[in-house]
Amino acid sequence: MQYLLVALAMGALTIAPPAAAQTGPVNGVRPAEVRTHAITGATVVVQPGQTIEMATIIIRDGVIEAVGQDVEVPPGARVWPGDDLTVYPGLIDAAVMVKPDSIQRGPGAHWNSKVHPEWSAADELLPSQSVRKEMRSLGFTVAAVYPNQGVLRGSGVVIALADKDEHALAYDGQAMMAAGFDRGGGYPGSLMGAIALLRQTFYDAHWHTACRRVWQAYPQGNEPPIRADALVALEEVVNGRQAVLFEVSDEHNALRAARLAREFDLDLVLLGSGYEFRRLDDIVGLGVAIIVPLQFPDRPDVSALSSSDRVTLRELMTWEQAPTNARRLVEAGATIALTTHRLKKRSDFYPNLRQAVKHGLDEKAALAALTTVPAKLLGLDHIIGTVEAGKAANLVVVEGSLFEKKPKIRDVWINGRRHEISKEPQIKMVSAGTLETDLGITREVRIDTTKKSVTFQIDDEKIKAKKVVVQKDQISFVVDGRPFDAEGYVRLSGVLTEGAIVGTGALPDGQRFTFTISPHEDTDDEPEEIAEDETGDDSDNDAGVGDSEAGSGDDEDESEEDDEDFQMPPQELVYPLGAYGFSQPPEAQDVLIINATIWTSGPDGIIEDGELEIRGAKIVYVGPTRAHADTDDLLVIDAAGKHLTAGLVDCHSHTGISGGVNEGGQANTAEVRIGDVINPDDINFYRQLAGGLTAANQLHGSANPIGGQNSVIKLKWGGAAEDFRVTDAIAGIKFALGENVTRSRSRYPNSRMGVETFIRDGFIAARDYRAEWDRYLGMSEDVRARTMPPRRDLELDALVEILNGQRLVHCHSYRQDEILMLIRVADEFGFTIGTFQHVLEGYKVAEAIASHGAGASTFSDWWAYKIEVMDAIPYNGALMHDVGVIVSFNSDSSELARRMNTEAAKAVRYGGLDPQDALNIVTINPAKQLRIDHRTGSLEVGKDGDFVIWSESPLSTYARCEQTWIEGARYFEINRDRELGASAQAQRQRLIQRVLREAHGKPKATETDEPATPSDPTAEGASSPEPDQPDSPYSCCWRTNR
Amino acid sequence: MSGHWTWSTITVAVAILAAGRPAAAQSQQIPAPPQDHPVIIHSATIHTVSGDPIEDDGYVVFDKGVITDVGRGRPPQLAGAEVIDAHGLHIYPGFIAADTTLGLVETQSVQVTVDTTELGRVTPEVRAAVAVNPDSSLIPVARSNGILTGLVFPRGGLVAGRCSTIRLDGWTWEQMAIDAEAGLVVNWPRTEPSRGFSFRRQRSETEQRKQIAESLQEIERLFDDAVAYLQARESDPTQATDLRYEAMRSAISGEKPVFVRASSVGQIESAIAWATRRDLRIVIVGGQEADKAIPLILKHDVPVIIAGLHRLPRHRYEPYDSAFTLPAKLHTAGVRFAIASGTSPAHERNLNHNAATAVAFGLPRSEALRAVTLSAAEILGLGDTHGSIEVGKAATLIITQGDPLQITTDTLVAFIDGRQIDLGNRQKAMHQKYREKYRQLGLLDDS
Repeated sequence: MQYLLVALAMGALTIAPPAAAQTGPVNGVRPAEVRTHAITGATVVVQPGQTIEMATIIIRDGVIEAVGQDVEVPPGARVWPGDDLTVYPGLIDAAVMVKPDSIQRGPGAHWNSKVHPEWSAADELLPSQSVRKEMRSLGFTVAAVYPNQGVLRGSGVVIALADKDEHALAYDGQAMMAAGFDRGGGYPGSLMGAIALLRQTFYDAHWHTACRRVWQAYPQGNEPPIRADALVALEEVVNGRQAVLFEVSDEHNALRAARLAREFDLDLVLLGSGYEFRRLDDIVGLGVAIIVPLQFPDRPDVSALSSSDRVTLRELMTWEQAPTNARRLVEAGATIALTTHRLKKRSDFYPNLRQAVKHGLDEKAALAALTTVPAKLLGLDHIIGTVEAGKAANLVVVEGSLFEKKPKIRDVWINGRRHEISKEPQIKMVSAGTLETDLGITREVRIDTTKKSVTFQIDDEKIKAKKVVVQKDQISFVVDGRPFDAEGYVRLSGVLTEGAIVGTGALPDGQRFTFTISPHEDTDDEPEEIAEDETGDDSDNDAGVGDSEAGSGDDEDESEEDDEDFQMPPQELVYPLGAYGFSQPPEAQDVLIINATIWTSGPDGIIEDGELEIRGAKIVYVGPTRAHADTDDLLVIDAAGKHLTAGLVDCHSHTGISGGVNEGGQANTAEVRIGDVINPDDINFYRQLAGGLTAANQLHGSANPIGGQNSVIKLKWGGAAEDFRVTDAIAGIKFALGENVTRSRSRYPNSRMGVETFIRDGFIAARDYRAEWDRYLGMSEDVRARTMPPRRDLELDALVEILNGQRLVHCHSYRQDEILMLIRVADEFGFTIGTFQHVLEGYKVAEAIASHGAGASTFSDWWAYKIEVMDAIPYNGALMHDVGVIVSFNSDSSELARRMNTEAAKAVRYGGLDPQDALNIVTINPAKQLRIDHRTGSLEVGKDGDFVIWSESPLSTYARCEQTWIEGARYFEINRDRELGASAQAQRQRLIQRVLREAHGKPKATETDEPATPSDPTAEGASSPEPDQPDSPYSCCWRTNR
Repeated sequence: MSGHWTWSTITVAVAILAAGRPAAAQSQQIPAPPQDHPVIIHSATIHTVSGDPIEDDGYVVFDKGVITDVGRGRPPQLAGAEVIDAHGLHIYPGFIAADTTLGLVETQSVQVTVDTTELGRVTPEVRAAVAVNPDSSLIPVARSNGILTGLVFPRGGLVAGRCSTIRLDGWTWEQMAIDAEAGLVVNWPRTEPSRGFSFRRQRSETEQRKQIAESLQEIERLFDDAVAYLQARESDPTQATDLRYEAMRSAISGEKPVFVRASSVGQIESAIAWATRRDLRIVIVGGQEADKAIPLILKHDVPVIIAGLHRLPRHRYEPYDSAFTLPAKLHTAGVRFAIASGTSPAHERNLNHNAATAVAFGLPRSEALRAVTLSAAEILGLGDTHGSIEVGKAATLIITQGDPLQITTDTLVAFIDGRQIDLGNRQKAMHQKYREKYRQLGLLDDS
């Protein structure tokens, strides 16, 4: 196994052309990356103590081809300018302990579960992408990884820390056998037990090796040795050919491990504890290599007298001395490698390394401990560890030195592949400049995107921006209003192009302005005078500009508002809370609309120059213009040139339903009720009012053949859920046929055949249930007293109501066969279907729908979104209408429900309906289908005052809804909408300012400024954080269950 | 409802339809042969789009697929010409679907009929045109509402592929393709941390910003790699071929635009800054918040394809008509834009209704018309050949009874490159078939 891996690794490193690197078929087009690179003009640390300035490194196919000052860049090489950069050999961590997903215990496993030397990291263990990424971000290119648990844990593997799994290749399978003194959870439960177990196992390994030898030599007449894979795996260890990496928790265990190794003549490497300095001479005297962690003890807590009493001097001294450990080991002549092992978090590596250097560790020795020493320990110093021709192209490219607290590692190269660690900040503007706005205000600013600072300079005063976020080319920040002569916080965001920042800002009152920041020509390298008062520590920047956020410490100056600044939130609330809410519910008015073209949707057809009068929420007159003596008690609206229609009705809506439109858990959910979950705060109700919609049929989804109960509503925006309900509408229920209900592979029904039987079965059960109740209720008193009552079943109750004609079925359907099927089922059980919904092949069986008496609630022109709608035609509605079906167009969409008038126009375009007949498709027809036509759907005396005023013919694509009234109350008016919108904006700005004040403290104001007027507390539309709409126009429309 | 037509115009229209070549072909439209004789249409109102309309007595002449004369009054006499009296009718350039997947999608929910998306995040090597199915039943449906040209987009991933301009008639995709490699398609990553309610655990703003930075960097890396590759190909004969980078060549050289799908202001700004830095020509597709990035869009003269108006506002507090008023805002500011349908290809036929909605909410009608014709052509790289009725342009035009932005207006006749197109479609055929059913049942009397 190990030899194979060596061969493989060597092959990949030296001779393999890129195309051969991947031997399997490619899933996609064949990638052909550029594998010849040149890093030019860099300072190259060839190995500890040897540096070449202004050097070029040529990398070809993963290997360093040349390093030096006079190296020529070959043609086609991708050039990486290394000016101001230093290139180190890629770092190597010789001991990364990884928790395996599981330890496989095959046949021949050791009896003790902590002994599994046969386990191989090469087969099973690859550090996760994220661990590799974390290691790379520290400059590591190679790691030896081992399982982290057990007494004899298994063999490690040396891998490249590349991002792609196929590049995270194993350099060498001959990594060490990991061991430790693990105990607990059964035998061994003690240290001595662990040592005893190790000892016994090493003896066993010797014994089993011996047995195998005999068996191989003399199989005849011998019994084969027992199967013991664990012991077989230890043969190389006890022969001294595979080193043991012994993880120890302190200096004493280091010595115990060494004693055990000596007892069995093992090749030992210690994975140390960091406490070696406490027995320095003994440990150095062992003459073994030590892999030293850089974890230092926490600072002891001595702040309280009582707790400081418990801190021992040993503890304090250990704390003080731990950073000297590596230096002491080196000085004493030990061979050490450094590791990230034991660090609480790997990002502590450089701060702690810096500590060690500060405590005397020679930088050269430190670099050796991260490159040449671990390379040699792993037996790979012929291919990794230095920047020399012929070695693997494993490099760390650093801005400055690697031995800073937070070195700026730019790239890590692994086998000639660049892994970007931190990008060169794309938006780099370190300059003074001029900010110009279209407000007429011009200011001097100083920007340093690398430090995330923006400072305004007004005379002698410097005003620092807060919350500076830099993301690629974009920058945004908040500044108090002084540079803009405003009180409050001003927010700006812009983007850097062609050397200038262009963007938009918002004043405290929400007013938008545009700005440009142009840098002064000559200030690029001007000393950063202003930076003096910064925190000075651009702290968290190891991942580059991406992690903007925490950068500026000044964001944390959360200051609670002073009491004197406290502003009581406005007392008055709007309903629903948020934008476009009403402070007062609209009230019914007595109103007269004159001079309008009235589309009555009733027997009077279209009345040119007519008028409509509403009193007590009801229509009292509709007809030609009359002579009026006195209209003082009426609100008179002159609608000259405008068109008036009945409020539009949507027979299939899912707007304003909380917590899911489908209860798809069973095939029959007749017991659930949309009426229980009306959400009156859904902003789409308001938006639909703005499109002239006044009533809707809220339906359950179509996931199951027998769905939930519907809810018929009027869009009484501002009201509570109960206010929306049309209580005298006949109850309904959703059914569904076809693809949606048969889609589930594990649930009956699975075919249109099954749908029929499922529905019939439901009605038969309902009939039986009804009969059972009838029998029970028909029993004589004393018989009934002795009989257990039937169980009341809400699901069957709903079906009984259908059988009794008390509940309308609204059935999702597409294909003609299923439409006809349900008609026949309804005929069999003696009820009339309310509507077929969608019914896109209704035109194929229109005569059957008409003679049954069902309505057809269809789409104007939808098709092709699934197989069962490939035959859908936009002429469907008109053709069904022509054959005598009552037809409506529905939306099934919160967006489309805003444009039902132009949907109706499609019945003119496709099928040539008369304009009034076409409009009826979204007014009186759906009202009839929902059995609410006695109240709404047309402009006739006695009906509810539900109407819409349009800017022109409602069938014109240019028409705009100007007013929407329900029961004599005005719910939408286009100018009022603008006021509500403006008020919402003002409230948002007020609240944003309040948030900024609480986050950043009270902004400083220019002295001349008027104090800001508190926002009008009666203003409407205070907004709360709200979920945004999905971005994609594709996300909403074609995927749900229509 | 303004265009009340007379019986006489309808007669003309019907006469024209009867003259149209395969009038009987309802379900299988037959592509028209190349124009082999001049056509003169006269006595019509000609909406040139490039200039003022020629009211009532305009004529247009075209031959060999190209418009040769446009004028007023008496048309020229040409030997062998077909002469069409279009009295009372209107002539418009054919409409352009500037953001469509027509031809790539047949039935949205059936994955095997959807050829919009290739496997992988970065697939610049694929081209839309080669997967356009000339016999798609969706194409004649779009065509019968006057949509005669389209820009077909690959979708999905970060770099989806290359989009193609096509004419909506032809025996093969090759005949349909105008430019199979019209541009590179980049789907810009999200640039703002999401917030609010989510089913998944909401990650912190810092975490999200890290990921956003990573996505943006992915694009940088890709283009850096492509540039390095292209340079290596120039000078190193052993450099192996990579189709992905080869496919980016024309966009990187600036020969072809990059169509960047970007909706939010952050995406738009970030994309423009990127393109400027790399000296790429870009077109913003989507553009939902383009009105909030106007200074930058103007500064770099970036055209915008508005992907549909019929959508809900992005935020709860936004005006209900924020999508409807977007074109008017862009127009007022002087931004170059086209209007696309923003919907599935089956509903591409409603493209014009989007333009009309913009008119209802403040855009001058002439601009709305331009947004689905000439402006679209210019942005798609077809400005010299399509989008208006001018001498030298392709004879790709329609005859209508009235304003084609009105839903109620039918398209009577269409020419693509001077070839009269069969405006029948599967839906019209099914309609006639079932009218016959009800005639047989005695329920309809309209024979």
